[in-house]
Amino acid sequence: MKSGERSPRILVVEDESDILFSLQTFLESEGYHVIPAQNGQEALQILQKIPMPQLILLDMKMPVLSGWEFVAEWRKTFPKRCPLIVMTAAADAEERAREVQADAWLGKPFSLEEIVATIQKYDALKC
Amino acid sequence: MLHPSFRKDVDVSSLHFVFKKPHQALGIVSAFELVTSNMQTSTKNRMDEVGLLRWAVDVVKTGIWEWNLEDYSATWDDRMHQIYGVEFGSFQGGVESWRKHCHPEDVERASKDLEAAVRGERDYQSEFRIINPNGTIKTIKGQGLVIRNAEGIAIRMFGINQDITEEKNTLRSMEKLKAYFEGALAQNPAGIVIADAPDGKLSFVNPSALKIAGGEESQLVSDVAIDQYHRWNITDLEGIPIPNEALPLARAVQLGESSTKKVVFVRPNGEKRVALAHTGPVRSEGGEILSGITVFVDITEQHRLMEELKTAREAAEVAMRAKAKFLDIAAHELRTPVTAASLLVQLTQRNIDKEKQMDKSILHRLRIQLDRLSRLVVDLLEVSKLDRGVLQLRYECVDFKSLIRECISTFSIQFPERKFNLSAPDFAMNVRVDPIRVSEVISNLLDNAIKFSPRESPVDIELVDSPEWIRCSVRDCGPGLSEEGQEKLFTAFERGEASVKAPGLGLGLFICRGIVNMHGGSIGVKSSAGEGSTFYFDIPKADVWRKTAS
Repeated sequence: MKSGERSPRILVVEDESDILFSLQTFLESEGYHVIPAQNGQEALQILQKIPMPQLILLDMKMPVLSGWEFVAEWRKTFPKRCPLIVMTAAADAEERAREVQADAWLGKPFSLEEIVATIQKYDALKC
Repeated sequence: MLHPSFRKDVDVSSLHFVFKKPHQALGIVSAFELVTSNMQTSTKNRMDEVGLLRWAVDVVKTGIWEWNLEDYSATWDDRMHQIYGVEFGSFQGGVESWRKHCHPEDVERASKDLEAAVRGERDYQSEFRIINPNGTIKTIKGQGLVIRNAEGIAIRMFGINQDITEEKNTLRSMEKLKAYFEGALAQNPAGIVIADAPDGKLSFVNPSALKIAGGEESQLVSDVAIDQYHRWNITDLEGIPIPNEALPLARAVQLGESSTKKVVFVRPNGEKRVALAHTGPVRSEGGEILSGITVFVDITEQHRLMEELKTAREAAEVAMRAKAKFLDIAAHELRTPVTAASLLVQLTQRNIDKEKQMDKSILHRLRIQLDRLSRLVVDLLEVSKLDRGVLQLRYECVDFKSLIRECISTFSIQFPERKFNLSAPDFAMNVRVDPIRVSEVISNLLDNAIKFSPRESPVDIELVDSPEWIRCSVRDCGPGLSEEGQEKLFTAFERGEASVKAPGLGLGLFICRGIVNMHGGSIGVKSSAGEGSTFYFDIPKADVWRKTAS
């Protein structure tokens, strides 16, 4: 992490609590600031209150407000953008990413190394 | 002077102008010339006339004979000899000699015709067969005149023999052909209807046509049948009646239109028969429409099979789509706990690598994920067993009420915040069931009720006793289900509207139905959108069960 700067912030939207827990634990140990949300609605509510994070990690199939619904609302409501990475257990992960015009995708199950490799493509996320 | 028996006032020399039938005239005049050639009455003109007539009788293959009734001798011309296949001049004697040439089956009748003419009972006109010496059989048409004297006694007879074998054969073949066609039409399993131009009046309806349309066979080509045809109720496949003028046969007669169409005959008893009708006009060589013919076959069975096949294919396609969707869901549902477990293991590995303290909660989380995974696998195996019909039940006699209470208490421990109300009769409700499987059904219904209803709302369980069945119902205050949603619920790989966002494979109710059906019972739901749902299942009582099972 660059000294004197705040840790890059990542919004992780995931309904499965164990996955959310694992991602949060891991990313925090890697020096990121993780903002957890259990579904799309919670994520939108959080985004109303905080500045736009450096990255959003988004699960697609969620109760209350799904990944698709979240993205539609997010693009409509928030003028500022950040990279969006979808995490999906769907057979065609790439297709899911295309559907919401995501910048990258992680097909479930994925490894911790894959997460690092994917998010470190973005300059703002290099710790 | 000789006089013909029927025109005593007419001069014999002018006979050929008097007779109406030309061949008769030819015969008589020529015969007259033949037998009176020594009378020296002919002029040059007359000779010409005779020559012409002789040529004419040659053309129509006609022989001339004369029979002297005074001495019973007969005279034949050369053509007669030819017809009878004997050498010119070889014919000797009278009627007896002629009889020898006649076909044995016809000789008596032919002789009688001749005798009757001589007696004056009728004109001589006869048809008989002769046998030539070489064995050839010919059909002969004989005609003649009797000449009588002033006292009315027959003294002479003139006549002709015409070889009509060829005409007769042609006629016979045509008759045969006609019979063939009529037989083929009448016995054809296809319905055949012929209508004549220009008005389209029916001229032929075969028995099969009546059979297909539901008429009576005895009313064949009669006016009744034709009339009936017009009263046949013919519709298209959608059941819309086709008016008479729009029927394929009418269009063939009126417009010369050919067509192949499926039509429906609605029989007087209401039964519907689907027929494939091939229709077209019959034209003269000049192209004029003579009639229309429609040939139709009853394809009701094929049509039904095809419709069934279509329905089955559509159902198979729906099932295939549902299965594909299910595989998608299954993959997702299986990947989720695998992802969680995998991440938890990786975290633990990292902690070990970094010699950090072991987080015990991770192990607990891991265990929950693996349990979830194993439940999914068990569900999949169960569906597979139900699908293949190899699920085994282990029957025991149990009190249904105790079974329910056990399930409810398990749920009460798991979901202490939820309220479960049981209403049941006071007496024991003994049933013979597989308690583990029935508990699975009850648990599934309770689980759904919890999953799809607000946390603060109660779940009501009711047991109702009937003489033959025990009904168990589970009522929730969830979103309820539309009618369409209710139908899909118990199908494999289908999920209710509310469960789209909830985890699971959507196999629960399908498995429940399988288990309940195996017990000889039935499962169902009463619900309407927005008003909660009541899921229920009926299990036959022990004694009843024995009866239905046997």
